[in-house]
Amino acid sequence: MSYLITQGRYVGMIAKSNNRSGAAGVAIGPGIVTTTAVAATDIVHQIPVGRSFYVLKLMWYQNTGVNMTLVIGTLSNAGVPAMVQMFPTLLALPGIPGGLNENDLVGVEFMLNSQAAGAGWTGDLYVESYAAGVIAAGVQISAELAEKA
Amino acid sequence: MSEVANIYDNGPLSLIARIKDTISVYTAKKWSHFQIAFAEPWPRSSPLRVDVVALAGATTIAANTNIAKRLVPLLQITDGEMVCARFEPLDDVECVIWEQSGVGRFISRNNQARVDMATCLRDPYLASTTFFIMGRQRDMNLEVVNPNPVALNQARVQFRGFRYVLDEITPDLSTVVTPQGQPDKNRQEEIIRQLAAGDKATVAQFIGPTTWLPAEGR
Repeated sequence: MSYLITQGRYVGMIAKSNNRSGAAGVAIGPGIVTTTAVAATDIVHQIPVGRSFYVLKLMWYQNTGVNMTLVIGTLSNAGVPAMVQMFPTLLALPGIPGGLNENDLVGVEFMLNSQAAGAGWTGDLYVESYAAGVIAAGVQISAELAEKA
Repeated sequence: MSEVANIYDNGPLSLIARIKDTISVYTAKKWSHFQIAFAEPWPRSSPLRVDVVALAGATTIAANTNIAKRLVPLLQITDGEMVCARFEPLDDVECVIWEQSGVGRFISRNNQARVDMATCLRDPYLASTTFFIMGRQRDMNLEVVNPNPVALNQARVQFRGFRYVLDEITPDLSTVVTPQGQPDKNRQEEIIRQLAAGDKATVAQFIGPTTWLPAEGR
C-alpha cells in the first residue's frame, strides 16, 4: 500500500504484532502462528471492537521440504466459516524466509462486515497454507498491523 | 476574555471560555446569556465513536447512497448543558450534520458542505467541523453519504469536544426605575428585548464581558 495511507490519512495508529486482542480474543504466544491442516482456523489477528486494520508487514517460513502456498484473508460469517481471500496467493519455498512489507502489500482494510452468511465476514486476519493444492500444516507466519481507531 | 471566541481558528480545540466566564449563545433566533458553572473534556475515544450503519440497523451503506439523518444518542445531553465538539469519519463516507432534523449546518443558500476523510488533511485540528449542542431536545442529527461505487460495511464517525454546565444569567434590572423610583417596566422590557437581540452595549451594561457563540444558525 502507499505510505500515504498509513502516514497521512490514518494518524494515531497502533501497530501490533500478532495480537489477538478483542472481546473473544484468546491469547496465544505472541509473535508467530504456525499453520495447521484444519481449514480456515489459523487466526493471526482479531479486530478489537469498533476498529479496523491494515497489514503492514508479513513474514513467513517453512521447511517441510515442498513448495507451499499461503492464502491470507478473513473468515466468512457462514455457519461453517470459509476463508475470504484478501491478498493474492503467496508462495512459500522450503527453507527460504519470505516477507512483504507495507510498500509491497495492497491497502486492504480489514473490517467487520455484519451481513449474514454468504456476504459478510468477521474482518479478523486468517491464514491458510496449502501443499499441492491441499491444506497442509507447517508454515510459520507473523504479521505487523496498523489499527485504525 | 475574548469578545468573539476563537472556536473556528485552525488549532486544537480548547475551552471557549473558562469556568465562571459569561457566554452569550445564539440559539433559536435569539441570544441567551449564561455563566459557565463547570466544564470537562470529552476525549477522543471509542465511546464517542458511532457506526452509523449499525445505528441505522443496517448491515451496509449501499453504493452511492446515503443513510438518512438520524439522532446520535451518544451526543445527547441534558438541559442546562452545552457541548462543543468536532468530528471526523473513520471510514470513507461523507458526513452531513443537521440541527435537530430540520435545519442543515455548514450551509449556503443552495448547498450544504460535508466532512469527509480528507478534511483532516487540510484542517488537521478539524476546526472546520466544530459544532454545538445546547441542552435537551436540541440534538444534532447525522447523515452519512457513501461516495463510492461499492457498498461499505461500516461508517464510523469519531467525536471529541468539551461539555459545559451552564447557569442562565438573570440580569439585575433593579436600577432601572422611573424618576419616581418605581420599577420602569417599559424600560425593563426593552432591555430584555435588547439582550435577546444581542445588543452589545446593553449586554455590556447588564451582563458584562461575554464570549459570543454561534450555537445554532437558525
